[in-house]
Amino acid sequence: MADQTPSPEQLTQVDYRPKGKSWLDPHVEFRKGTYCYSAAPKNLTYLGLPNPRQWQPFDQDWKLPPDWKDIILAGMKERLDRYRSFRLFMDICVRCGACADKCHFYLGSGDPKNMPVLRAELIRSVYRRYFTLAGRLLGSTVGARDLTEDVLKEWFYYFYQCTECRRCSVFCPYGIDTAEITMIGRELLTLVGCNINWVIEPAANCFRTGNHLGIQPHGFKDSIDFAVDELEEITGVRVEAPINRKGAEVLFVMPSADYFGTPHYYTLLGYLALFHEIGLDYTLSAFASEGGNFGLFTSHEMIKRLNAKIYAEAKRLGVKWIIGGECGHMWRVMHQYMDTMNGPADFLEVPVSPITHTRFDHAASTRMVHICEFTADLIRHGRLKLDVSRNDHWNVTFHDSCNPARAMGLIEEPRYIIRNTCRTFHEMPENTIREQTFCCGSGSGLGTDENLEMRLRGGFPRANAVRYVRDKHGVNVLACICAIDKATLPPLLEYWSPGVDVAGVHEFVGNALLMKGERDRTTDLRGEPFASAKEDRAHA
Amino acid sequence: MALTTVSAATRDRFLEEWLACTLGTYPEQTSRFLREEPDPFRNPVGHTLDVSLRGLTVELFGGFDRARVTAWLDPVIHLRAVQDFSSADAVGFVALARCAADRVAERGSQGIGPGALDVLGTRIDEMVLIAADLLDRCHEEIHAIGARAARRRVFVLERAQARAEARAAARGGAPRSAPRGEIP
Ligand code: SF4
Ligand code: SF4
Repeated sequence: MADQTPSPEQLTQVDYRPKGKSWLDPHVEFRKGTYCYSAAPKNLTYLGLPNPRQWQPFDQDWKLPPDWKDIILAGMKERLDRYRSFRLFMDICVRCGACADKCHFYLGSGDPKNMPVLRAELIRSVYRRYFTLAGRLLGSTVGARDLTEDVLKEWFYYFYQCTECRRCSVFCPYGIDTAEITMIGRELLTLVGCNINWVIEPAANCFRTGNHLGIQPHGFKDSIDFAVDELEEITGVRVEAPINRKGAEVLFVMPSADYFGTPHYYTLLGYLALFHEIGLDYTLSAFASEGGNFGLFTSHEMIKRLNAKIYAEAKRLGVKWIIGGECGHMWRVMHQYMDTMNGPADFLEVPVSPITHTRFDHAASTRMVHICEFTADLIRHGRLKLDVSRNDHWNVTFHDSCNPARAMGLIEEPRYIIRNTCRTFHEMPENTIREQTFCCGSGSGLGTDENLEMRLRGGFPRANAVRYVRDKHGVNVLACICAIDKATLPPLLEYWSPGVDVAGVHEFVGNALLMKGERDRTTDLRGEPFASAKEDRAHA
Repeated sequence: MALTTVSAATRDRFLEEWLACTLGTYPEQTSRFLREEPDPFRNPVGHTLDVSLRGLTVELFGGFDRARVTAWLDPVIHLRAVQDFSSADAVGFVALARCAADRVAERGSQGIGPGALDVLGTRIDEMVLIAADLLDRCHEEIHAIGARAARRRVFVLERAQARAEARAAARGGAPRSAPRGEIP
């Protein structure tokens, strides 16, 4: 140590500038706070995935199989043959740069390798080297790179730094979807056992018990019963929440966080109140007790396996159609993959609302309707009695969750519900919402505590727009329709935009809903006094 | 105070230099983007740096009010605390103000005189210390935020457990267990 201590003369010549490093260098530093821990061997074993072992990204030796390079290249070849989109995305990028400054991770971190075009280039350079003539002959002069361990580690670092949000694809004139490239990158990494626990454990749990948290049927029932009790305390109305009831008309599937975490839980109370009030003939399932599908962040095969259980349950219970809750990537799976993987679900019926008789033809193949579509339709037909003043303590803005917005175009329905249940609503700037929405920075399985620093970087563009409406309009709640958002936006806003809460859209519905037989309510679903109750107290 | 006599044009040049030095702490392609993209929502980092350094420059050459300096520094430190910087580099952009001042001072009568430069140097040193404190606070905040996030994940479990215990206590028996699960 002593010989490193600068002399007084040296001290006066301190160069204040940080040392730069070339961004072309594949070497990455796994600094605490910027990566996710590796998947535990027991979870890989449970799912039958390769190379279960103890290791961590910061280890020098990743304990790769001896033939890891052959495995990756064979995996690449197989995927280039199987997915035309992958081959196309490898070939057609003209490096126009339109996507370069569109990724929230790039905007928040300033790391050029987070430009979507460069993220894709990490894998494209290897594709060139091994799968194109020019790359084989001319190597680095045509942007081809050898596949080395450093390159593999770089893949891991940057493909687990992409939330698969697809914002970049909105701006690409060729429709190149970097999220799909990340998906293939992660699939290839999975072939040699390089994946993260926050993705693999939920997938394994989901496979084992039906939900990410590994909650068993009796635990699920306890949780739902608890919600029913609490709802009764708040509203004075005892609702029923049937589980595994055969012959119900509708199966309702929600993300598991709704019955475990906060603020998700208030969304669940909203669903329960709504279904009771309209007399919906529905059931929950203790086995399809998860809408989320962490297969999306692992491999196509895993998406298929996890999605299938929802349909298996629908069949077993003999329901006619399915409603899905406020979940993000569940809807991406449903709209983009379900039909070719497990569909068409022709043992079910095309969904028809039993209350308004609206036929949801857009769900004719998946037979699954988003709760926001269902509720917006109820409101449109005047089938709900709503007292909007009960949400007067909220000054709302809406975050378009990436997957519902960009993967299924669910943009107007949640806004329609908010406008009909809340009186004060302000949009964030146009280039940060709807199709151009900024990601929460924690999607696609990156929402772990150990990765918090990276998440705060990536979420900054979103939080920056929230802070703007907070300061300009006094917004105090950010509404969203995704379970990952509800878990990860509160930490993000605590850091960047304190004073703004997070809520699900159906929480507002549950607050405003006038239920038959309800007591004289003075509090919202959180037990907070309504604005009118606060005023009464102030005047008393 | 010698600093108040420094011309507006010199202050602007100082700001320009300081901003350029600070942007230089990011990779080259990025610093160009951070400097050139004017939309505050498309370029939140560049916008934050621009607004904050502008405010700090006013303080450096003006009243140097500690509370206001802290308020201007805070957004940048929040940023750099989570970006890919060591602690020294995260606050180091403040020290870069010295380089900017030196560069402006080199321009003789058009620049900053030696007396003013001394005062400026002292203020910059003080700003470095404020920045270090803010960085410390950011790190503490991040830990607290992580802990609260973990609590939110077991919200229903904790609530149900508390209720079960309260009921059991009223009955004088053992509580029924709360919903079980494995939190990943
Ligand atoms: S916008 Fe599309 S074509 Fe242009 S650089 Fe990005 S991925 Fe390539
Ligand atoms: S999909 Fe999202 S996170 Fe991934 S590169 Fe594109 S913008 Fe970035």
